Amino acid sequence: MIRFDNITYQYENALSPALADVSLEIQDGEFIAIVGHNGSGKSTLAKHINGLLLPSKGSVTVNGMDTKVEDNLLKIRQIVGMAFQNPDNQLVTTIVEEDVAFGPENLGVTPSEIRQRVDEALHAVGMTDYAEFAVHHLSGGQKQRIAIAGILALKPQVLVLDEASAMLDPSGRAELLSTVKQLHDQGMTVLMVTQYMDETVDCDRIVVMKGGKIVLTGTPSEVFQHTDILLQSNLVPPEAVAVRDSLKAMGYPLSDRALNAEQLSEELCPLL
Amino acid sequence: MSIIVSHLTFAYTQGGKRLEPTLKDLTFTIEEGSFLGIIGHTGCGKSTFAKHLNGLLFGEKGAVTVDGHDVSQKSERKKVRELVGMVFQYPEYQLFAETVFDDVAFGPRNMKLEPEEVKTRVTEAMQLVGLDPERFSSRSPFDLSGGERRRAAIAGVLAMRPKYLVLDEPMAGLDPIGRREILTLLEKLRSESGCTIIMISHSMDDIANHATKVLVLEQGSAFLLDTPQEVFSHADELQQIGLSVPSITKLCIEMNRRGIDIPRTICTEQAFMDWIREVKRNA
Amino acid sequence: MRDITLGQFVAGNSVIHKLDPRTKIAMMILYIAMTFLVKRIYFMAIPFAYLVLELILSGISLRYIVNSLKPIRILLIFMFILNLFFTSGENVWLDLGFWKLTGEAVLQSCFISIRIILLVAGASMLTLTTSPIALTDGIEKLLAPLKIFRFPAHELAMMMTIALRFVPTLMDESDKIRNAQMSRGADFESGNIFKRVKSMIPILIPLFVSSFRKADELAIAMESRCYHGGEGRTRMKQLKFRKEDLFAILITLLFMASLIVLLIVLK
Repeated sequence: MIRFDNITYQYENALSPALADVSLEIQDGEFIAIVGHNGSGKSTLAKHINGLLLPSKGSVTVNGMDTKVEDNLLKIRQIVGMAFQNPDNQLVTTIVEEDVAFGPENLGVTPSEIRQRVDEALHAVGMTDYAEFAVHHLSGGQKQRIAIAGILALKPQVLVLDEASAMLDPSGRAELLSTVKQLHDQGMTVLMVTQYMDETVDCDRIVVMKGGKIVLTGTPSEVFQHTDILLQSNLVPPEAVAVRDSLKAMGYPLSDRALNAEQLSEELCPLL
Repeated sequence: MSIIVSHLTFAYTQGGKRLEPTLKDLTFTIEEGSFLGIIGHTGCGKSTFAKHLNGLLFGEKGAVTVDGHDVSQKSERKKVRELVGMVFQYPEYQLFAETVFDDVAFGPRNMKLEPEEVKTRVTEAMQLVGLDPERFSSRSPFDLSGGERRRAAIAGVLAMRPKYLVLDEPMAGLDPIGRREILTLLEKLRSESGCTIIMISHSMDDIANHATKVLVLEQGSAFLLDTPQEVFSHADELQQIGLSVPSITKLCIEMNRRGIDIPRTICTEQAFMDWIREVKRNA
Repeated sequence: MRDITLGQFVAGNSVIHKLDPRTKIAMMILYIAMTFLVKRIYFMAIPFAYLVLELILSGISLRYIVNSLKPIRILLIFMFILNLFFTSGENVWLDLGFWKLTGEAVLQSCFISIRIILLVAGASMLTLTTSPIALTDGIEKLLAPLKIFRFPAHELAMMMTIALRFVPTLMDESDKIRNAQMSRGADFESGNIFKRVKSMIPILIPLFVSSFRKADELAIAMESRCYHGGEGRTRMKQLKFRKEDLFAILITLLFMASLIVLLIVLK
């Protein structure tokens, strides 16, 4: 379990805090999306989970371990794996399998077990065939899957994606998203920082951030009832939700569960 | 005047070997004042094609002419690069000067314009992209926010007053406001200065809402070239080659599946709501 | 992307590929020593034969070796001409008054050129058959004894690993920036040398900025993946010195020995 207790964080030379008194609890096995515009504090929040940033006020604990305690950091980083935005800037070595091995090597795992972990991790992201490829020959989506494999090799319990899909093309995003969903189905806690609202539709919970504060949390169908708050937070709801709202305004009795084309047409068609 | 692409074929070479052509026998015309959307999955040749529009690359066979200037002629290239502005992916990575002003002025100065004219153009371009010249001119481009940097880079291209503006994924990585700002800017350029827009994008919704023509590239060939309505009505074929369709088209397909007879040419929210109103009126 | 063979690895499964990188580094050092021991052009046949043997055993296409020589062609020509001018000799082939073309000079020019070619080709053989990681591993292990003198062997190896990883990325990026600036009317081809150097600024600055950003982001990513220096680190691929390695070293020593014998006998 991850707990943020009233955390505040201010970057050097910044006029206002990037996070202001934020509290949040993330349960084991949850799939949670953190959304917000650029500068809303969503990435800053994510970087607190594994102690990349330390709160100026308040505390962050992972399975009861405080990120402020230096000795906890290595353990916490083993529990919380983190993937970042630019697929190019997080792979350390030239060859795929050697990159995946980087994490467990840092932990001093035995060579035979590293081999096993690397093979398992590559299998989990569907990249076994690319084990001996050079990293720079892969597509963006493939690079991100390798980055995730590198995290899986640390056997984490929590996967944090800090805008990991932002630089990918639609097929790369789809690849990444389905990999992540699969991992979640196998019991991984997932925290996804994103600005693409359509990626959040299948989450357990969405947290909407604005100006360093949480302005809304709830299940997707709850959150997408509040299109007004989303728009005020400079976010754009998925197209299906926008259409649903326009239809509702015209008097069609549609439920809040209609979040994508399929669900919407299922409710709309009998009414036409 | 227009950009005429005729029988354009191009292949990269690697280690002295000629690879499978990236562009195969492309022939079409980009009309002045139009908004051409180019779609296709990664590796279909979109970006390679874009580089042919201002002579960064030129085909071994076929030709591209911009207002009659052949891009493969070295003597014409300067003119072509003034006519055709290029905004590459993540253009903010090309910023280099000490101030926003100097960076935006790079293009006009390369055109050997008078300092007065350079200043006029820079001011104009910065205003277009919504960067107040008073506030931003003397700031370092590296101190700006992500969205501002992107707009400063675009201003650097607009300051050359291109007649044709080619943009490769101009909204990639921006948040929803940033995306909207860029799209609004493109519409403004087209309506106010008659600039022709050629935009490569993965966002089918943006293409459906803004393009007047859509070119679908598949393995270097023109798979479809038509209005967005026509192109997206071929949803099945697009999905077969691994492309997605606009959200509204997805909705129409689902409704078709449930026996509702909504035409597949509907691909924007506006058109969809018009259709609903029509249904409601007839009911 | 442009071709860069110097320092590029070609995956393979040959005997040479499978050798321990430490062995290959040792082999290269011996090979370099051989080319420097040779004082007469026909003795170059021995290191040359050694190179050919290695090339055949590795299954690397000759094309890669030729490509690796391309970047040094200017140097080669320069050295060739330099030696033509500055080697004195008696066997005059051509007398232009101010300068005599002598047989010795031609021989010396060829000799120097062959030595450079053999050196570069030999070094390329090492990088073509050894993955960058294995190479850095090898270097790290070979330098490990120096750690007692606080020599940063691990850090050095990690720096090399990262540098090798980012060379292709930065090449791509410089191409992109170059295209973007050319589209804004930048001219990299005309003008004198000062003008040309100056015209590179719009490429170099963005490239620097981007490298710093990459370094920053990479450091964060490495930290997140539990990197905390070389202490307590293990490696997935252990370096193992096997029979084949011993054999390779012996063969190399054999070449070396025969060269030395030849040098003594045919003095």
